[in-house]
Amino acid sequence: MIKYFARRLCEAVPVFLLIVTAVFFMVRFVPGGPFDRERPVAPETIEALNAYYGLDKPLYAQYFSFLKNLAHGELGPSYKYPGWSVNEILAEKAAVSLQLGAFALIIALAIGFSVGFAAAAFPKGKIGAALSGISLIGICLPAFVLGPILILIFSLKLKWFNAMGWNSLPTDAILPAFTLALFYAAWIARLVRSGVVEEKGRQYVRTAYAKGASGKRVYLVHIMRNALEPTISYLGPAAAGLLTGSFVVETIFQIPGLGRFFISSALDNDYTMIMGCVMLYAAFIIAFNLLSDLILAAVNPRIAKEMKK
Amino acid sequence: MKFYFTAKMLLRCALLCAPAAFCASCSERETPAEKATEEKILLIGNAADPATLDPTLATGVTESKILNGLFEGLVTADTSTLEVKPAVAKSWEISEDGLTYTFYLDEKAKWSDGSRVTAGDFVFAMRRAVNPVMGSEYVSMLMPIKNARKIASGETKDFSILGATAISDDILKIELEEPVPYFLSMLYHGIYFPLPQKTLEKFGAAENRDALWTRPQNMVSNGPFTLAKWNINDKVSIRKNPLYRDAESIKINGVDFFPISNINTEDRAFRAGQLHITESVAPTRMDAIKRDMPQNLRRDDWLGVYYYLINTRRPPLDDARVRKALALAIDRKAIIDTFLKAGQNPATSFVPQNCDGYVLDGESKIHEDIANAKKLLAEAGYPGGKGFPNIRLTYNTSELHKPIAEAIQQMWKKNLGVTVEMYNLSWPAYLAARREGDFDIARASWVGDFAAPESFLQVFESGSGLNHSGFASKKYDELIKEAADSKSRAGRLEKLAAAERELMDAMPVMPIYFYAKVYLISPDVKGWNANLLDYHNFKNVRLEGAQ
Repeated sequence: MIKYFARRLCEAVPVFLLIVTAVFFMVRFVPGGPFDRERPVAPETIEALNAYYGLDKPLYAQYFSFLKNLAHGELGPSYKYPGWSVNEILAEKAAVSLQLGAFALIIALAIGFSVGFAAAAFPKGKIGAALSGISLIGICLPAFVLGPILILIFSLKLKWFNAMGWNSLPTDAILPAFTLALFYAAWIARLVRSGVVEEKGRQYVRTAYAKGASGKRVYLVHIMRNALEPTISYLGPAAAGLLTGSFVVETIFQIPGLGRFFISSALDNDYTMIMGCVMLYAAFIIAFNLLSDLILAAVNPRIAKEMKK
Repeated sequence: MKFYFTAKMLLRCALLCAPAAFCASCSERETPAEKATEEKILLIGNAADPATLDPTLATGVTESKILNGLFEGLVTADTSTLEVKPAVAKSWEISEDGLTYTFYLDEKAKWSDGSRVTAGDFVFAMRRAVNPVMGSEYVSMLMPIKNARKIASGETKDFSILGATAISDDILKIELEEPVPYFLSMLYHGIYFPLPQKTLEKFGAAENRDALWTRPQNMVSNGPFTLAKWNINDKVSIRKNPLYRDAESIKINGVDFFPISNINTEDRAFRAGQLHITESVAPTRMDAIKRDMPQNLRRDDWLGVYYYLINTRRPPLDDARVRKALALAIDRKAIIDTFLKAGQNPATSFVPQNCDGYVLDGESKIHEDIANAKKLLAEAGYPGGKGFPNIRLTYNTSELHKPIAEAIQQMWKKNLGVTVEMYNLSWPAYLAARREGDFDIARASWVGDFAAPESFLQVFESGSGLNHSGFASKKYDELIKEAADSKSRAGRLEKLAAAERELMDAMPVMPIYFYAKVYLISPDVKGWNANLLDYHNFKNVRLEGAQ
C-alpha cells in the first residue's frame, strides 16, 4: 500500500510539471500582454515594466527562472496587483474557498447520500421517481439560475440572509454553499442510488440474507462497500472542484474566493497569477484523486490487492 | 428497512432546515445600509478591486475614487461645477507667459502620522512618477512639466532638472514646457497627489512597484480619510482622518467600497439594503427600476464617448465620403432607446457637450441623414452599396457591444445596402488588433481625464498613441497647438472647435453616444453632486436616515 502510494506520488510529479510547462508557454502565446491598456502606455513604460518583471528575457530563461522560484515556493509578484505576491493572494483567497467548499461538500454529501439511499429504498414507487426527478433537476439547474432564485426568495422577499458578501454575518455562507452544493448533491444522489440498486440484486446479497444477516448489516457491510465505488471515484475531482472555488457562485454572491481569479487572471494576462491558480488546481486534482483511490482501497480489499501488485 | 432510511432522511432534512428556521426569527432585522447610515459609513459599489492604491501606479476609475478619499492634491474641484478650488495649496500665482505656477501651501496640511505636508512631498511624488523604473501608466499627465519627457524616456537620470521645485516647505514652483491653459484642472488627478517620502523610503517604495507601503497598517496619507482595510475582492474601507487639515468639515465617518463586478449582483445588493450607491445599472433592469423604484435612479452626464474607430488606411474606408456615409446612416437615438434605456445623449460630435464651456456649431455636427449618406456612397463609386467590399466590424466581448454592433450592421444594410461582417475579439486580442492597425472599423470609447476638450481632441493628434485610425492632419495638430498658445479662453475654444470641424470633416471616427453615469442611490445620501468627471469628494457627502 505504501509502495503504491509512493509510486503514485512519483507519477504525479511529471504530470504536474507537464501541466505547468504547457500552461507557462500557452499563456505567453495568447495575443496581447499583461500591460496592454486601452489608454496608450508609452513604449518606454512597457519596456520598463517588462524589464522589472523579467519579461524582456528570452522565453527559455523566463521558464527556468520560474522553475527556480517555484522550487523555493515563490510564485512571484502579481502583475495586476503591484505590491501583492501571488503566494499572498492565493493563501488569502484559498482560505475563503476552502471554507465555502468544505461547507458545500458537507451539504452535498448529506443531501446526496440521504436522497440517494431513499431513492434506492423505493426504487419502483412514486417516492423513488420523485426523488430521482429532484436529483435530475439539481443536475440541470445551473448555479447562475439557482443562486439568483435563492437570493430573490431568501434575501429580497424573506430578508433572512444578505444578498452578497462574506463574513459580515455568520449566515453569509448558507446560500452560496447551498448553490454550490446542489449540483454535486444531485450527482452523488444518482450515483448512490444506481450503485445501491445494482448491488441489491446481486447473488451475494441474497446469500447474505439467506445466512440470516440483518437488513442493516446487509446494507452497511455488504452493499455499501461495493455500491459506493463510483461515488468515491467521483468525489475526488468533485472535492477538488468544490474546494478551489467557483467563478459563478463567487460572482453571484460577491465572495472573495479563488474561483474568480481563474477567470480574471486569464483575462488580465496576469501570467504569474494564472500559473498560481493552475498549479493549485492541478495539485488539488492530483491529491484528491489519490485520496479517493486510497479510500477505495480501504473500502474494497479487491482493489487494495490490485494496488499491491 | 424502509423506516430506517426515511427516518434518517427526515432527521437530516430537519438539521439542514434548522439554520433557516433560526433566521426566520430575525426577519425584521435592520439592513446593513440602515445600520451604516446610523454609523455614518457610506456603502458604495465600486465595480472592481483596485489594482493598487499607490497614486503613482493607479490607473482606473475604481482606484481614483478611493484615492480621492485618501489623498488631497494642490487643488480640488467643486463637485457641481468642476471649478478649481484650493486644497493643500491655499493660493497660487500664474506667470504672465503661463509657464510658471507658484503654489502657497496650507501650513495646517498634515500627513496621517502627524508630520507636515511640504512642497518637497509634491516634488518627490512627481519625480517618482516620471522615473521610468516605476512604469507609471499615467505618466503622460505629467508631460506638460518641464523636462518630464526627457526623464521619463530615460534620456537623462538627473531628476533635479524636472520643472518642479520646493522653494521652501510652503512654496512649490512648477514650470511647464509650454502653456497649458487647463493645467490646474489636471492637478486634482491622483498622479499629482503628494507622497509621504519618509514612509515610502521606510518601505523601500521610492523606486519600487512592489513595496508594501499601501497596506492598511503601513499607509500614511493626507486626505480626509485613511486606509483602514483592504481585502482583495472583498472590500476596501477608509475611515475619517482626525489629523486632516479641515477635519471638522467631514460629515461621515468612513466609506466602504465593494468591488462588485457583476451588475446584477450589485442590483440585488442594493435592493437587499447592502449598498447606498451602486456603480451602475443593468440596462435590462431599467424598465423595472423606472417602474418600481424611480426615486432611487439617477442619471448624470459623464465625460465619455462611445464611438466607432475607422481605419483610414484601408480601402474603401480610405475615402472620406464612405466614412461619412456610414456615420450618417446610424440612428443613434434608436440604439440608446433600445439598448441603453437611460436617456443618454446621442453623440453628434466627438467632444461631449458642455465640456468646460466648449461648443461646436450645429452644422459641423453629424446627424442621421440617409439621403445624403446614399449620395456620398454613390459619389464614392458604390451606388446602393453595389460593389462595396466586405468589411469587418471588430468589437471586444461585452453584453452591450454585440447588440449595438448588430443594430448598426442592420442599419447599414437597410439604409446603404452595405454588408459588414461582425468580428468579436477578447479584450487583449482587441487591443492588439487596434494597436497593430488590424481592423476596418472597431468599437472604441474614451473617457476624459480632465474637464477640457483637449482631453478628447488630443486623441486624434498625429503623434497620439491612441490614434489608431491612420488619420494625420497637420492642420488639425496646428490648431490644437494654437489653442494652447492663445491668450484668451474664447480664442482657445474657437481654435479647438476649428480642430474638431477638421476631425468631423475627415471622419476617422463615428461618434455614437455620450456616456452617462446611471446608478441607484439611497435617499439617505445627501450632497452626492453630479458632474461630468464623476468626481466626488467624500468629505462633502452626508448620511441622514429617514427619521
